Amino acid sequence: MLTRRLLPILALFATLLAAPAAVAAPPGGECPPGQTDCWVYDEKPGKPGGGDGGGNNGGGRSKCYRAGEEVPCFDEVWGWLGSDGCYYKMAEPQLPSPDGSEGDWYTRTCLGGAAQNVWLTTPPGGLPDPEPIAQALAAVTLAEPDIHFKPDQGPGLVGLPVWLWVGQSPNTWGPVEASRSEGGLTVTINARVTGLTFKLGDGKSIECPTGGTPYPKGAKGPSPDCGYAYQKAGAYTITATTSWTVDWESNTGISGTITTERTDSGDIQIDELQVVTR
Amino acid sequence: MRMQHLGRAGAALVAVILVGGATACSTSDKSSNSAAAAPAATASNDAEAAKASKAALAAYKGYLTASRVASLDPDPKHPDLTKYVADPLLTRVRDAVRDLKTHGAVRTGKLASDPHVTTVDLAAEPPTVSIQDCIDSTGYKMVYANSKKPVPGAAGGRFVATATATRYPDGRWLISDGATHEDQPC
Repeated sequence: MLTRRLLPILALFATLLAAPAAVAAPPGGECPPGQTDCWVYDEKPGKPGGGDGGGNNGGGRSKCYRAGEEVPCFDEVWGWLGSDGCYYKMAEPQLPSPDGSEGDWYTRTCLGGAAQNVWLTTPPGGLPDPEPIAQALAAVTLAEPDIHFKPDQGPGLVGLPVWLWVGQSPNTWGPVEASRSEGGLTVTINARVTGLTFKLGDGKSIECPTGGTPYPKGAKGPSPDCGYAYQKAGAYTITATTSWTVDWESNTGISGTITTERTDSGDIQIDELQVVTR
Repeated sequence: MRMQHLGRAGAALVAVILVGGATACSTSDKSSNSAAAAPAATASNDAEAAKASKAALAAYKGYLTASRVASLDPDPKHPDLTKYVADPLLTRVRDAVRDLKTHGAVRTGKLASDPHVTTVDLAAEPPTVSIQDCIDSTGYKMVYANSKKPVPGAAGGRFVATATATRYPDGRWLISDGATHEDQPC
């Protein structure tokens, strides 16, 4: 593909539907060392695909066009089709930032041009959006809180300590990691609970960022970090809500953070103190 | 992009490559040595440069071997490639290997190579080593995998090749750029 060089700047002006025409091969085109005569087949320069794996579509988009011609949204060698009509992939391996700015090195392959590395502080436009995949992945990975409270065998008493906590497994509390690949796009999520709220059912709620402490058998006093004492007798529904922070990243170089919540509930009966002492 | 890679000494480096290219590959050790040994070079700098040259040449040899292995298979995603090659050359090599695969062709035979270092630039960010080679691909045939018949138009020959080895943050030297100059016989 080195045979038809295109000034990189031209690529900036290329658009999805009006990509520049391929430049004719200069005499004695340049191939990688050891890949002499690499232009010998070039009946359609810069045309992606060929062989297997070229026809996968990038996540989220069903069809891509360039210069009026349908092209794969994802190419196994070139990566994803950007909105400028060039393909982009993360450069392998990454080098440090050239100027201290935040960003990534991408390898860009434009129609008829040789692959070049470019430093981009924002991902190229037009790449598939990994966020819906991150959301779908979070939906199946993150479970509702494993709610516990004491007393739970029989009623509690007005003014006496209620202990509240949640079980802390990867899927109910984190940290938990999961990833999914669709058509060359790989999305990885890294999720953890960053907040826990118990609604006590009497209009009050408490925050328990630590997740609370499991009630040790025979303990007398209140929970050290997540307790409550009801002031009135009654039947209450306790609702635990975990707030998840989900960091996601994709192999397109795009990353982000989403937040989501999970809830579960249980019922508690609170009796007047004299009911028991009677 | 090239200038960005090469940093401060980029202009001088490109000039050296151009001069080296013009004189083909008549093992231009004299001119390249004078370029590498800068006036203020100390003994430790020389030792560092020699170490870098050795690592870069090893990467280049590894690259040629990986390129041959991938072209014989042919497999654009051959795992050996990423051991010696970095982008953007990696993508270009994969492209060339995929072209073979698409057309049912392979590369087979003997590829002769005689690389030498033309420039060492350890002050650049990232550090680079420039390599010049005279590649002889006359015995290295592009043939159809099934019939073993040569692909029409693929002649091979002795041509100047240039390559840039780059040192990555993990300390590895990888071949990140390079070309066969088929308009420059050697």
